[in-house]
Amino acid sequence: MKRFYKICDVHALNCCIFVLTVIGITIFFASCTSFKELTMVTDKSFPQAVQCGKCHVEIYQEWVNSDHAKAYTNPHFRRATNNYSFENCLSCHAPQPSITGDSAITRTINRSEGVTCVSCHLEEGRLSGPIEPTGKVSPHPTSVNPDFYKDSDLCQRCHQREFSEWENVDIVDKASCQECHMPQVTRKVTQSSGGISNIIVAFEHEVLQKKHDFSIVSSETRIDVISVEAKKTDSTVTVTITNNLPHSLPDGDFGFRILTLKIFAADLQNNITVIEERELVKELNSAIASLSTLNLELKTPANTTSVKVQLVRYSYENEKVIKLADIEVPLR
Amino acid sequence: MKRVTIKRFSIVEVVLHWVNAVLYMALFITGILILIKHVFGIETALPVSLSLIHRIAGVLLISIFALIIISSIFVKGFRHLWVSFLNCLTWKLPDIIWLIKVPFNMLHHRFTLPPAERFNPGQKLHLLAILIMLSGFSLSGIVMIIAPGALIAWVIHLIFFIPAALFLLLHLFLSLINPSTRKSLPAIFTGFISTEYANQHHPLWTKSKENQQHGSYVSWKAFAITGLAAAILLTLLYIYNNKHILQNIREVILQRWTISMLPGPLAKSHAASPDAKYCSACHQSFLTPSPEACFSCHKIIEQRMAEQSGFHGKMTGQCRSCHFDHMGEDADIRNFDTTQFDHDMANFVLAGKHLRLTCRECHLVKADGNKSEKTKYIGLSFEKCSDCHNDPHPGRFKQACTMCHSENGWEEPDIIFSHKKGSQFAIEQIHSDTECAYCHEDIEKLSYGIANTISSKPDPHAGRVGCKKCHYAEKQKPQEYANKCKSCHNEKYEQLYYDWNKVFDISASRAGKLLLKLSDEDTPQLNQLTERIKEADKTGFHNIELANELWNNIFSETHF
Repeated sequence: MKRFYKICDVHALNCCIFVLTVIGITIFFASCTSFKELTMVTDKSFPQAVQCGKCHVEIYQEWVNSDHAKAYTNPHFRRATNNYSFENCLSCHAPQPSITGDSAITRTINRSEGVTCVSCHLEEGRLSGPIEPTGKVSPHPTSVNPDFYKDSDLCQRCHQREFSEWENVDIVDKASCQECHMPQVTRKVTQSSGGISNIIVAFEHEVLQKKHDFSIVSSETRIDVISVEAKKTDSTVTVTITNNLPHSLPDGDFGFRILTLKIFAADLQNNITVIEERELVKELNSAIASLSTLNLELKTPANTTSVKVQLVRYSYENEKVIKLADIEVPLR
Repeated sequence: MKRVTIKRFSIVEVVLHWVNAVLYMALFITGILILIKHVFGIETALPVSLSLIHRIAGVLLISIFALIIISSIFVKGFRHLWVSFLNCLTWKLPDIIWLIKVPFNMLHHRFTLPPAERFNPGQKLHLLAILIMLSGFSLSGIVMIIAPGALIAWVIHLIFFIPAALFLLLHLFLSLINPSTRKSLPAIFTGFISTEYANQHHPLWTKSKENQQHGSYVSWKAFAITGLAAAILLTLLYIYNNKHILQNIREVILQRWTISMLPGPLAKSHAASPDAKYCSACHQSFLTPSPEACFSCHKIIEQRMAEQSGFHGKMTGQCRSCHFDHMGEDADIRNFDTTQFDHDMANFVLAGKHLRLTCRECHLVKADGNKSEKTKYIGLSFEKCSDCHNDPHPGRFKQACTMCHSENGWEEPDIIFSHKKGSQFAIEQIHSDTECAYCHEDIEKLSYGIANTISSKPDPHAGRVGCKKCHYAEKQKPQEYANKCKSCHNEKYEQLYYDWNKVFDISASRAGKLLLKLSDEDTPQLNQLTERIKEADKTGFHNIELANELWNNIFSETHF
């Protein structure tokens, strides 16, 4: 009987070790071979965001609804470039992953994904980011570069003029692009579902990271877009609107971005009358520069007690409407 | 020995009678049909012209008569005709009594008539009337040929018609219908009459003649006449079955006739008309040619005279007061001295530089636009300036040419409206988009996305960027426009401007090729396409998306 158990134990142990080794080797090789396409850029292949999104699910969902994803497929961009025939525009709207270079270069294949993951995150065959990898095993080579990814310089390669404007603004503790346009969130880096993915990212922990929606405005920014004051003088009301942003309002270089400023006068019964409606357009020099004020002398009805200011952004020929500010101030 | 028949008429008399009868009947029938047409307006559907037959038969009759009169001097066989002629001129009292008794005799045979000679007084009267009428018809007919339009000929012709009709009807009645006299009918065919009839109706003639010639039982003359009649009938049948012979004869006669009637050759333009074969295209039978004949082709003149517009509108009276044909092939019917013509009388008053033009510089075209050798004075389009002048800025302005231009000249200072510096409407003087839109309303509409065929989005610049932001001089180079883009946007817009400029240039040149390819197609379609191309071209930068859409529509619809 003993001899039997002894023999069994040894064999069981051997079997276990053997099986585990096989599994480990498989995983090792699997991690090297099956995710090669995530970092390979050739004439015929290009890492696609869809593949990244298989593991980085939430980031992919945010990105796919953002303007970066639609940078190429946007029909307005297509019309504006006469069906992609104007080469000048394509270098920023479908860039190669060359984050170390001075300017963007147009990629030749897979243009329809626009500004895709690897446009910013692929550096010399490694997928890089601002934080340390959160899992024990990563299926692709990684590198960490917090200085680069947390700096506004990253955005400058394409958003050149906005950056130069931001650069010249003198604010104490100036917010970077990422601070306002990529809101904070605490979560795991990957949210994969599926057997092998779970094993691969085993023991992943939650960290503070950024949402990749590149939104125009978010409720989590630490500053208000505008500050409003309304002072009553003899026959008119002076409304003062201050742009608190480190760039002009509106900003941007291409396409048509129009802000509509609407000012209402309200009385105690909450009767609303419109006392001013104007467009703020950067090209027409009617935008409010960073930290500048717009002073308006307006006539109001007699019983006015408060002034309401609404700032709405219209993009893509009124298809995208974003409310930037809706402030009510009492009349002083 | 008494024979059954007795010779009444010689062969000459028989032939003469029938020749006369046939021609006379042709003349009578055509004459009465022409008269019915003129009086009652009832027309017969005959393939040939009635007056043509009438004239042919008339000429034949006159010529035969002339021939007989002349030949009777030389040929013995005709001399006895004069005897009959003299006989009908001698009238005695018994002849008058005979004539008075005729109506009573017709009522009842109880009222006997006095005995008659070879020709009874009725026949004498008939012959006399025939001779008078034939003379009258012949003479008036000759006058009609020689002096067309002379009234006396027509009056005589018509006056003689009534007795001619009466006598003819009487003659036919007595020879064909009246029981007692129709028995003499064979005489006019064979020349022989039954002896019984001769004794009964012409007793004085049978008694006086001693050596009367009797006919044989077999009438060889009847045989010969029948054969002749058969031959004629067969010929007619042959001609009837081979109508083209008739046509050819008709054509030849017609040609010869019209030539004989023509006072001179028709002018080339009238001779070229297919109606000109028949004089009746312009001439009427009874009246001198009237303006209505001219108006049947010259509709514009008719309209002008009816509306009292233009040069002819100021004219009254007959066309022929100024215009004459039959003056020769190369004659100009218009009879127009260009040096004496006062153009103010025409619908288009010459002013300014127009006064210095020669006639041919404007009037060198035919109505269909092709240049011709002969100048065409009436029928030119002149309502719009573009009827003579090319539009150097086609389709850009909807205002009339006279808003900016006068007849004094195209260049400064004659232009009333110009954007040049220093002129009344220099760009520096224009301060609002409303002023631009007064002429360039089409551009304004297009910038807001409103085209003729489609509606699209307004361009973002529309209503926000004034016209003068980009258009500040009368003529600008592309780089100046690119600079304007850069002045509001950034440097990259310079390349964008040139990129779009190239796209529009390519579209325009492609459209040019398309028009060339379709140049021989249906004109209204081509005009429509040209308008669409003009529209897309002028849209351009004023509304880039609309311009693109318009160009795409043009090329996709024409599959070019």
